[in-house]
Amino acid sequence: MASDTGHRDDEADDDDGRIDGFTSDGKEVVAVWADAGLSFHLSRIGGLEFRGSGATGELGLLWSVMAVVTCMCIYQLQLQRATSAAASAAA
Amino acid sequence: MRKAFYIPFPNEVLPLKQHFLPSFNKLPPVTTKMGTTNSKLPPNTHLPASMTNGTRPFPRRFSATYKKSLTKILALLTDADRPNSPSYAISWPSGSYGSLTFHAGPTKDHELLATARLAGRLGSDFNVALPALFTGGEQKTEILRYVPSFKREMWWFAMPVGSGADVRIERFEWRRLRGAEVKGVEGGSGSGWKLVGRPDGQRHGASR
Repeated sequence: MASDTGHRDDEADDDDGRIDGFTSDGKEVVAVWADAGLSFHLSRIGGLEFRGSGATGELGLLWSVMAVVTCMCIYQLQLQRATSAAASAAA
Repeated sequence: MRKAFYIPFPNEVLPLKQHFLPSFNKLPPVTTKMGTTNSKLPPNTHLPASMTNGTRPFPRRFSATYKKSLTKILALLTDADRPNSPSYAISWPSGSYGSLTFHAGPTKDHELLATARLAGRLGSDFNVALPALFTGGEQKTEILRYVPSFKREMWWFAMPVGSGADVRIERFEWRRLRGAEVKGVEGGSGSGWKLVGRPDGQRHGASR
């Protein structure tokens, strides 16, 4: 699974703790990807949830497709990082 | 494949500046490659009619599972409202350093919707080739751009959104989830990403 780089320890950071659908710099959260924990069955990698105007369809289908694909792009880079971290740990 | 230890010169990380410009709602400065005619998807790749005529609404929530065999990777996306079988698939036919394809069914042989391939100087951008909205429509490629940062790396893209007379280009950013946000996500393990759009109050204008 993708490694946690410890960003969440930074409590003073801007977006911390906002669960009302907007970031503290005022932007709307339109989708959330959550990594699955290892306690779930092993094949599950996570979940993607559309929110706000991302869930109403008002942004259009191509945007929805773009959101899914870009989410998986980031997942792919996490996979690369996890693989290279495991490789250097084994070396 | 780009070498992993490649170190960019300062002039090569110039796109970083865009992050600090107060132009979130405007067309981003880098527009030359946006929406270019795409050649990475077969011609006449368009969304299936079932997705555009309402018989197969796009899911609001997906659960993703993983299948790996040697170098091939497949992620199955299951609509939370139709949990019996996966509705979509993401395939990495040559593993995590190759391109991905997005399919309108649970295997890599199902109808192709989009592709993404690694690009950019840091090897962390992606060119995403999107389908046309309808038969004979225009196919575009959009770019997912990486903004490196020790504490808050992010990826952003800008594309036309909305429909009819209300089509406009908006910018979106994938940022890491923080703090209490993580707890609000069902089934999450404590890490993840959020996609943020335009500022509060601007989309809804006078209604807020």
